[in-house]
Amino acid sequence: MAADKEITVLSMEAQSELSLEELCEICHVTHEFIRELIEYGAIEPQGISIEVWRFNPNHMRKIQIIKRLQQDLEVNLPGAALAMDLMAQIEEMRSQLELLEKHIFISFKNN
Amino acid sequence: MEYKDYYKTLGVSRDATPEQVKQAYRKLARKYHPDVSKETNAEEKFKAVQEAYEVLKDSKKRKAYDQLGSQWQSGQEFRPPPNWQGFDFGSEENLGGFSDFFESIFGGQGRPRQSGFHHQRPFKQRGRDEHAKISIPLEEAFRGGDKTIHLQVPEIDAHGHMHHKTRTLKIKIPQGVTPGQQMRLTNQGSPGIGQGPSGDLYLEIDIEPHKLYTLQGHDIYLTLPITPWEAALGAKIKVPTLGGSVDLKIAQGSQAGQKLRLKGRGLPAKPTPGDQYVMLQIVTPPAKTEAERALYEKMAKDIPFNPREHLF
Repeated sequence: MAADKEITVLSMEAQSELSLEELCEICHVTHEFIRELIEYGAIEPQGISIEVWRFNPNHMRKIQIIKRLQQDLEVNLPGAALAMDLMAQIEEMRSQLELLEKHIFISFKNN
Repeated sequence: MEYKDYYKTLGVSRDATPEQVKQAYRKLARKYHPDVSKETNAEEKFKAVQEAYEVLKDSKKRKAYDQLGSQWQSGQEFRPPPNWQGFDFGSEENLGGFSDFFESIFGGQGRPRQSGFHHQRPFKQRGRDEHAKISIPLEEAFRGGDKTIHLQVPEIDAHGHMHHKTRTLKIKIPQGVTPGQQMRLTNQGSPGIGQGPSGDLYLEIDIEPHKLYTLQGHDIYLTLPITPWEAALGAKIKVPTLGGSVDLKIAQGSQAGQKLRLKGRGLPAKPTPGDQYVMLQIVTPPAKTEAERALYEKMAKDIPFNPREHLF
C-alpha cells in the first residue's frame, strides 16, 4: 500500500445550480430518467419547463441514491421514490426524537 | 490475505440452491444497504454481501470457489495453491471495491486492460464513482476551515492488478456546512479501464454528535440548567454558544421546558443564520444541612402553591 504526497486543495463552496444536461452527465443518466423521476415527484426542479429546469446538489444526491436502490435492491422507480419518502420521514422523526431525548425530557428531570 | 467464507456471509449452506442464494442476498442487501441502513459498518457489511453474491450467483465462479475446498475458515490466512492460475472471467464490470481475496481468485487474469487483449476491439470503460464520508466536529462546521483527510483509493497497476493507495486531500470546509452535504471531485474516483476516464469522487459531510448541542438544520439546541430562584425571580445568565458565551435574560416566573431563542447564534447560513434555542431545566438543590431544610420549610409555609390543583 503506497502512500503519496499529493495534496489537492478543494473547496465545497462552489456548488452551483445545474442544468438538465449537466445533471445527466454528472449522474450518468438519461433525460428520460430525470423526466420520469419528476413525473413520480421524486425530485422537483426549479423552473416550469425543460429548458429552464434548474437542479441543485440535493437533487443530485437523491438521484444517486435512487440509482443505487434500483441497482442494488432491484426496486423499480415508484418503489425507490416511495423508499426515499419513507426514509425522509424516518430521518425527520429520528432527529425529533434525538431532540426530545436530549433537551426536552431532561428539562423535566431532576438530576 | 484472509480467506472469505461466502456461504457464511450470506448465511446459506454449501449446498444451497441458486434460489436460496438469491433470497438470502436480497434480504441482507436490504438490511445493510448503506442508503437505507443505520447499522454500524453497514457499508462494509453490504460490500461483503455483494462480493459473496457476485461469486455464488454465478455457477462458474461458484464452482471455482468450491474447488478451494471447504476446510477453510473465514478470516484464516489464505494463499492460493501454488499452481493456481486464477480464472479467466472475461471483461467483468464493477469489480472494484472487492477484497484482495476476491481479486486473487477472480480478478487479475481476466482484466481487460491486461496485455493479450490488444487484438480485440479496445475496451473502454469509465471508472466507478467513489463515495467517502468525512466526520467533523460541530465546532468545525461552525467555523469552517481547512481539513486534511486521508483516503484509501483503489488503483490498477500496469499488470492489471488492483491496489489500494492512500491519498491525502486538503479540503476547505465552508462555514455552516450541514450533514449530508456533499462535494464532487471530478475524475478523482476509480481509474477507468482502457482509455476510459476516471470516475468522480464524492465527499459527504457528517457531523459528530456534540456533548452539549444538538443540530437541527442550521439551528442549535442547548439545555440550560437554572436554579428555582433564577426561574422565579429572573436572572441574567451566561450561556455558551458556538461563537462564544453570551448573556441571556431569564424572565421572572420562568418554567422548566421553556424554549428561549438566541437569534442568529446557530450555524452560519445564507441569507439568515440559524438560531440557538435554549431549553430551561430547573434543578432543585438538595436540602443537606439544617439551615437548608429550614429554608425549604419556610417556603412551604410562606408560599401558598399547589401544582396539583388541576388534577382534582
